[in-house]
Amino acid sequence: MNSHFSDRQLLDAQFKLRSGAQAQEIAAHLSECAECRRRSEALKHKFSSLDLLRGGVSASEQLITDTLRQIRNEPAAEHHLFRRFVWLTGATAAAAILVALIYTSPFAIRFTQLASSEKAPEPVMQIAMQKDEEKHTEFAELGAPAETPIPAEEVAKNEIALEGGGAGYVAYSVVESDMLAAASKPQSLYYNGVRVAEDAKDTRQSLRYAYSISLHAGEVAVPASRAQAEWTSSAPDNVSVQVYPALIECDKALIALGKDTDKQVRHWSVRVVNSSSRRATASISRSFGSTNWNVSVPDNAVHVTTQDAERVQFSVEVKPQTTKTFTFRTILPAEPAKGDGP
Amino acid sequence: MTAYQQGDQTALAGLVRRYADPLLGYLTRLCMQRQQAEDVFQETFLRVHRNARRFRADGRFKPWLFAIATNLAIDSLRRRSRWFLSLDDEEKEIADPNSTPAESAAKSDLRAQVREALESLPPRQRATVALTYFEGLSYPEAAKSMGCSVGTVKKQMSRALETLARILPDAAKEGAP
Repeated sequence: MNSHFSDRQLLDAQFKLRSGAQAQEIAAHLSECAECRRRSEALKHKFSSLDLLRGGVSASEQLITDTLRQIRNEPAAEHHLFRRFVWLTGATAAAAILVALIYTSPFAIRFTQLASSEKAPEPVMQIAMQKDEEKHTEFAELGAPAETPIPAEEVAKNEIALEGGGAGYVAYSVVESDMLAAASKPQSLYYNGVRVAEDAKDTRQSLRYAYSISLHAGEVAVPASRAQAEWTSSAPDNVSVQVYPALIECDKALIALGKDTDKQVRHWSVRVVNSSSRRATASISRSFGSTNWNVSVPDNAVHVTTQDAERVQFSVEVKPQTTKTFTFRTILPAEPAKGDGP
Repeated sequence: MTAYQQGDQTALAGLVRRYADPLLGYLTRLCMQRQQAEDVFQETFLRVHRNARRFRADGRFKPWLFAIATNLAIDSLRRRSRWFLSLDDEEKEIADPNSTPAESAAKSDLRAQVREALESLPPRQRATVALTYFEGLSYPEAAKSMGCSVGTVKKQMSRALETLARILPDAAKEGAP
């Protein structure tokens, strides 16, 4: 037997992560290959140490009693539903007022002129909003979100050229009102970001536009399969590091419209807050879980300290009692239109 | 759960007692800190109470319960500024009367290394391992509990296993007296 299976393949087979055909192939190989069989057994034995953490945790009577008391003290579920109904009614009314205000603002008039007889690009917005509903996990672990330093206006001015010359942006859509209403929900973590989208229904009238958007930490516009990426940071005491998305380009909205997008560009904001009385250096690392990526840090104060095939690490020095904010971009292959992709 | 939906106020107490140990065990392995796990435990059952009407009678209760718990735990981990706290000391080990002190010490040491290995996983990978390996949920059930696709759960699991294979101690070597 010349070729052996890797540990990962053997583990995938043990934990039934492979498809039927692949699992059969590995099982057949194991019956013939003593070396792979030995390694497979060794891995099985190694993972048996996890069983040391089984059991041993029991809920105390006090915990159960406290939990039940809290439930008894809660208003009935119907009250919650009623409160939610009241809240939703209020939010809808507020959103309707907001819609009216924005559509009667000078900006709205300007956009109407730019787009001439085109309808508002609502379908694209809806696609973008569907994307917002996808789960996201990768960047919320480094701290609380903060305001974006990249306002939609800046993005529009610098990066968006409307068909026929000039630059502009759309700051609002009917669908976005849902997000604005949701942002007022108490006790929710929200990131303020800027999204670039494109109305490509009619290529002759193709429009790009940017708009501010609130991204819930748990529902940000990143497919679950992107969650492979990991952020880590290290910094002295009294120094906090926050990473949050500022801008997402080339997103699924474009792919869904059949645009030729082969990569996704994401702008990230990093905010390092030094509350101490000394200069401090924070180190931030991002691993991609693949080799197909690129990154750029357009800030001279930020130094890339390590960059290998799957990971980049950079550091930044921050003066005492100051906050340093910088942005960088990651460039990854675009998500296929359907499925999790490779 | 169906009884509770239909107005039997005592039914939830039965559910709390029935799922208390597995849920707290899961949350402790996920949060790696007993106090935080207990906080999430209480909040989970409060959410069950508040959202009782959303539970579908044709669904299984355990994945639904663990879905609520997983979301709350991951949110809680995000809020915790330094989430690499060690698993609490409150989880006392019961000494095996048949073991010598040296054997007990070696086992305790091995257990600490295993905890550390599990703790080094990102929260969602840790949740995947906790749900499928420790709680015995199938991959589709784990996917339901984590609000993602089965493919994503399998990817998370595969990555977690690869990491653990690298850092888990060798049970025989380390555990030997």
